Amino acid sequence: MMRAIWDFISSLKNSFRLLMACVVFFLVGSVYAMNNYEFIDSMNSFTIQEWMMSQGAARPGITWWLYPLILSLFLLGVNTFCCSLNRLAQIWALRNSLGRRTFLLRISPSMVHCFFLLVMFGHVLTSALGEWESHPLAEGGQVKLGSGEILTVSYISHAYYGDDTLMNGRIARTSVLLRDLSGTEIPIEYLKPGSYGGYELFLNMVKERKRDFLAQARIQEAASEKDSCNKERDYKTDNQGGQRLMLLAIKDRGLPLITTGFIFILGIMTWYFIELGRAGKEEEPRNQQE
Amino acid sequence: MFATGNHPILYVAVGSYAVALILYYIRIRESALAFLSFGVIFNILYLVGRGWLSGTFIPNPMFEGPYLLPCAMATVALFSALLQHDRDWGPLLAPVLIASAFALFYPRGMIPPTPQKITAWASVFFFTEVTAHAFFFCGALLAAKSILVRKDTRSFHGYIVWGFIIYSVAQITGAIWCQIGWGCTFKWSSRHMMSAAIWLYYAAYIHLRFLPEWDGRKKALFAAAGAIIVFAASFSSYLHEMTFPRIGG
Repeated sequence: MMRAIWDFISSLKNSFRLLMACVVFFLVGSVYAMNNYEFIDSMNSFTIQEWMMSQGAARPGITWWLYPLILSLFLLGVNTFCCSLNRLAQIWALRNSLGRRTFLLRISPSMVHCFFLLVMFGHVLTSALGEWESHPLAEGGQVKLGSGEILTVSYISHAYYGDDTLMNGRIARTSVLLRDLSGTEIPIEYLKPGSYGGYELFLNMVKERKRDFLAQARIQEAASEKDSCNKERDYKTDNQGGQRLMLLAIKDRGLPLITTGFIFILGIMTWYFIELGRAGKEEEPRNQQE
Repeated sequence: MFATGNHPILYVAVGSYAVALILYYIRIRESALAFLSFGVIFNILYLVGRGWLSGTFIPNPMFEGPYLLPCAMATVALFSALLQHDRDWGPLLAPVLIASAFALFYPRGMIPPTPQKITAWASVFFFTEVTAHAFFFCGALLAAKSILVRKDTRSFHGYIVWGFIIYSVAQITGAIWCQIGWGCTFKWSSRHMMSAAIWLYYAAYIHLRFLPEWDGRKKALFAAAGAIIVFAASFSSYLHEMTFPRIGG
């Protein structure tokens, strides 16, 4: 009985079915996200459970796909774990009869699956335990982080593209220097985030809009009805509405796992395909499982 | 000229592709290969020129999908012919021409990138993503051909596998870029969810070889159907971006 349950859970047929279920619900979700940009984008500022209770539950017609998607992803994670365990046990039992290289070649795909699980778990931690804060920045002003620490904005400096280019009037670089109460300096630029008190600090520019879409006061970043993924006008000085430089303070609990997973997946895949190429094989060693 | 008026170079590239296709089907294969090579060289020159569209070098427009895709597919066809991976490489020229024709009518300017988009990670992401799309399209075409001629060639499999590997690299580089730019590796957005769907679809394809009931014909159908998802994802994005304000070109 237990064996039958285990075989069912770790079945590759179910892997395929679950992968396809995830494909379908991601596709459906992307269509809803395309047509409801601001609403779905607000998910990125809350934990998933917070958002589903506050925003998602209020508009089930737009968010219904999220529930089966999360269930499918969870089951895919369980299936991948069981499947990898099966495969690892099989290969481990053969470790003495296989040469070292063949053993490593055979175990590599399973290792990639294990690190894929690590990445998935990292995303779960990020979605369920992350913290996202957004604070407006003004030179000489102060920012109070959610943890209570106060940072002073020492200076904000924008560098623009030159008048001899078609990018003139657009921001090329922004440098911000923050200082805590003990005088510790935290420099930040776009693409060069800073770290402070467990937070990763990022810069973001938004156009000031007429009304706030998000009710929660801690999210001070506003968005308009016609907001879209194209933000290029937010970085242009054209007198069409003021810009507001924002500080994003993020605690991402899953990031170390996601980063570790990515590094190992890339490393293992690179080694695996180089070795396969050397062996002159077109495909990986045949899986004996099914 | 290279910075502002380089669109004629694209016309030369597309013309070379068209001539290559004609020569291939009147069985002057070596000349066809030569014209395909010219086309790729001119297409790359055009892409490099797009880097100066704004009057200062910004790499982002070089990797804009509608312009990079035909070049990537032509390069795949060229290498396929040179490495003799697929002796019947002519059909790959058809999607190259279709994508090139789309590029000819696409807005010529560049979408001014925000400061978060000017990083090598973004360039690597777009390059690998579009290259992977090229492999998926080529694989799908050969899969469709194997269904139509009722010949189980399996030559499409290698294209799909390479596409999947390159697409995985794109997902990782994209996640790194997103992390340093916006502090997250995945966003709940149409673009990210569509990418996840494509990656999972081809991950499912990779697992088909372990399912005995999926014979060559069914796998070919699955590989061919993948192109519909990739096409819908990429071209809906390209069409949407046609409405964005542009500069230069």
